[in-house]
Amino acid sequence: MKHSFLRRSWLFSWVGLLAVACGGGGGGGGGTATASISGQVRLPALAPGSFGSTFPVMDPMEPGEVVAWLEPGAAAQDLASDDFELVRSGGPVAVFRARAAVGRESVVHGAALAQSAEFATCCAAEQMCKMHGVRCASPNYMLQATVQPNDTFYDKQWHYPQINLEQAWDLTQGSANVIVAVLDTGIVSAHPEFTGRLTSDGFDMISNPATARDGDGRDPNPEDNGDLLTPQGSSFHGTHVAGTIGANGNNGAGVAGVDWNCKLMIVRVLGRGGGSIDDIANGILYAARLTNASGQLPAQRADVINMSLGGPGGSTVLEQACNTAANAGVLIVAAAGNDNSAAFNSPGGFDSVLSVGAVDLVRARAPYSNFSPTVDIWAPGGDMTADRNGDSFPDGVLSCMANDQGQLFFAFENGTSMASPHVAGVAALVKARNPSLTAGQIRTILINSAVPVAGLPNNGRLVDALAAVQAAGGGAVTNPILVATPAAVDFGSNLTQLSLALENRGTGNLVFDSFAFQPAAPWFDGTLVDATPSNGIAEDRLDVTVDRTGLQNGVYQTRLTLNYLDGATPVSVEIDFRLQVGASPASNDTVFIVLVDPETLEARFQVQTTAGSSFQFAMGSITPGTYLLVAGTDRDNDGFIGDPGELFGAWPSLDAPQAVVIGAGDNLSGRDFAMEDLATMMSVGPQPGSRPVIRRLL
Amino acid sequence: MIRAALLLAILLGACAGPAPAIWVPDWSGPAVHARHLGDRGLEVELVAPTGGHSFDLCLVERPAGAVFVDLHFVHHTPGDTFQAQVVTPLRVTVDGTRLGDARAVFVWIATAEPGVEPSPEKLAMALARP
Repeated sequence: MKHSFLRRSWLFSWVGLLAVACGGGGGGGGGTATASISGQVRLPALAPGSFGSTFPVMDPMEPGEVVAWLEPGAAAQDLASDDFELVRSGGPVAVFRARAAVGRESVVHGAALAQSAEFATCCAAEQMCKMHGVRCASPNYMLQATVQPNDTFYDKQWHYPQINLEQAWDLTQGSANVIVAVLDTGIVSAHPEFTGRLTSDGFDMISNPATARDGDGRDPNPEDNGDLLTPQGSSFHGTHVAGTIGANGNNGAGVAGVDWNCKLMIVRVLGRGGGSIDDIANGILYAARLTNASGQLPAQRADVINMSLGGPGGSTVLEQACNTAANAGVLIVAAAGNDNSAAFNSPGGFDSVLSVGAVDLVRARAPYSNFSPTVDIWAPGGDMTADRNGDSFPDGVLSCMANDQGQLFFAFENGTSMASPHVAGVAALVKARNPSLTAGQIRTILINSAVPVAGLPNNGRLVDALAAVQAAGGGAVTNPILVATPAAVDFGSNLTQLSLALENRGTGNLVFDSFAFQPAAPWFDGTLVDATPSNGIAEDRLDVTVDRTGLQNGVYQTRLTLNYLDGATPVSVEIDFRLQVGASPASNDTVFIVLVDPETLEARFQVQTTAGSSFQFAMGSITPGTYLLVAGTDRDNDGFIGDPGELFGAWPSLDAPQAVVIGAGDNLSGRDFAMEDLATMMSVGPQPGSRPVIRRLL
Repeated sequence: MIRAALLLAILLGACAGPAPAIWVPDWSGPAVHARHLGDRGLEVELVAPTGGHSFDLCLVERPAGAVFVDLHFVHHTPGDTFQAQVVTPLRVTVDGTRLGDARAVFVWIATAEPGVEPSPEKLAMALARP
């Protein structure tokens, strides 16, 4: 019961605030029929503040240069002045050198931000924006060549930068001549991410109508009728897997797949209760365009088969099917299994199958992934018990999804089921890059080009899309390709030092120019170790250290941009950094969702939620009345939520909580709201005494 | 978990009626979570590693005069069938009326392979009720 006086003072001041807002309504009254409420709470995003300019100071730019778009009739030379020297112009675009930036050092060479050339450039750009004859102006930023698709949720697909997929997309985005067969639960073909991507000869190989749930046995329709996997509904697992391989990319909506152009041959082999060896073996033969029990053949055999499925023990029939398909020229990729075991798993364990284990966001073995010596390669499968990138979503693989009601959407999942399609998709990119490669050659390329990752079992290697595509040959690379390994860095709550390896996987002679953090991250310090300064990028390394001194508990993120020059051509790469101070708010906390009496702040109804539930909540059997909806953690387990150092929030916001009026029979949904870190709030908020502490139900 | 069970046992020992022995959770299967619901019910979740598992509540048992209630679940594994390798949470909701005014809940789980008698139950967790 420590700090009891402080608690009481918070409580009273918040009650006063609410009494005004709610008109003094009381909870727990009303009719006899009960009601429900649901929603989702968000964890605090503790991104540090940006420096005080409307232009990003730390984005890569030509220091001192301001680029302007002139109004019609304005002459560039007329804008030259003591402040701005005209560098060049053409049409409406003109480049000026800001004299205020001349002679100033870059921040990466030790200058303080306020005295840096970058800051002076941003200030000059703001000044130029206000000048007569200038429509708009900005620092002359250097943009990136790397392909970043414009799909709406691409920024949640952390699993693609992890395997250098963006750089690989610079070289190929796939080919419609490559076919990937997906042996799974079928597909929800209406999902817009598959428009134009499915072959017309997919097949339903499930022989048992009860398993298929479509009223018949084998048939040419691979539509997913649902497997009723859980009491909550069907998995639509095949739709998720197919989306990772080949969801339409860079189409301005949804998610991106690994390969944006390959064709997907859907072969349905899993239904209610799973799949049989008979159906799976015949599905493999069908995809390989080999004689099978259905009596049917596709027009063209698949180049790659993905099987995000598995079972214990070996089956000689299944192994024979895999061997036969591999001998026919098909690369078979399969999940290593989710038993957190070194036990044999089939079909992944067969010699003719490329077995894929799963890593999490920081490239560690996912806690469920199998790790037997038969695992050939590793790929992102996610870990939904964690949110290590602090984006308020569990660290699953994001792809296409549907439900039994016919709704189409996107969802996070985790498993070696999610890792396998990453490798299958990269295999399709390799085949697209060089169509003459055989399945065996592609397999060798994938394994040999994968990057060793310390800590993975059996000296495991993580698939590297760029390295694989480059190893495919099929056309000379004519541009420099700057790659940092790892592609993202998580210091967690303990690490203080990490190193990045830098290499040029393309042509040219890259020479280090600068690096910068955006937003500014004074807790980071970097040292470039240039082993051969006269010989370009060879063996470069960036050592980065962090200092948590004085930082509040929470998650801090920044992006490091490394700038190199190939002659006069800038080449950059971006690396996301994450630092945690204190206990993880995402991976460990239980969040209590509480309906409280607005007059007394006494808890009336309560549920709990965790990262495993994406911090969603649903509360039923609520007595009608007027309540406040709050959420918080109880890290010290003292029965109170909202202590200093804990997370706390109120609907719709903590600063302006509103009453929730729940009527008899109401089913209120979408009551989403954010939590804040009270330690942070107390240090910077103007009125810390106005924050409440709620006693949760024990 | 062990501490929770011990605390619960102490709590129950101080109450009238029959009290359980000091049980220590010994469940070693997939992760199990629970959360209290607004109707004083309970949602129990077993995190299955793959598809093909099921998780069913078989019996809600409260000895006469006891302040606790035993929930008996069966976790059916898929055996040797082939399954999607996706982590799958399986949730079972126990209505508050079935728990009555019990002050504590014990979650027991037996594992059943296809075609085989379920294994002896293991104690997965012990919970004090709100």
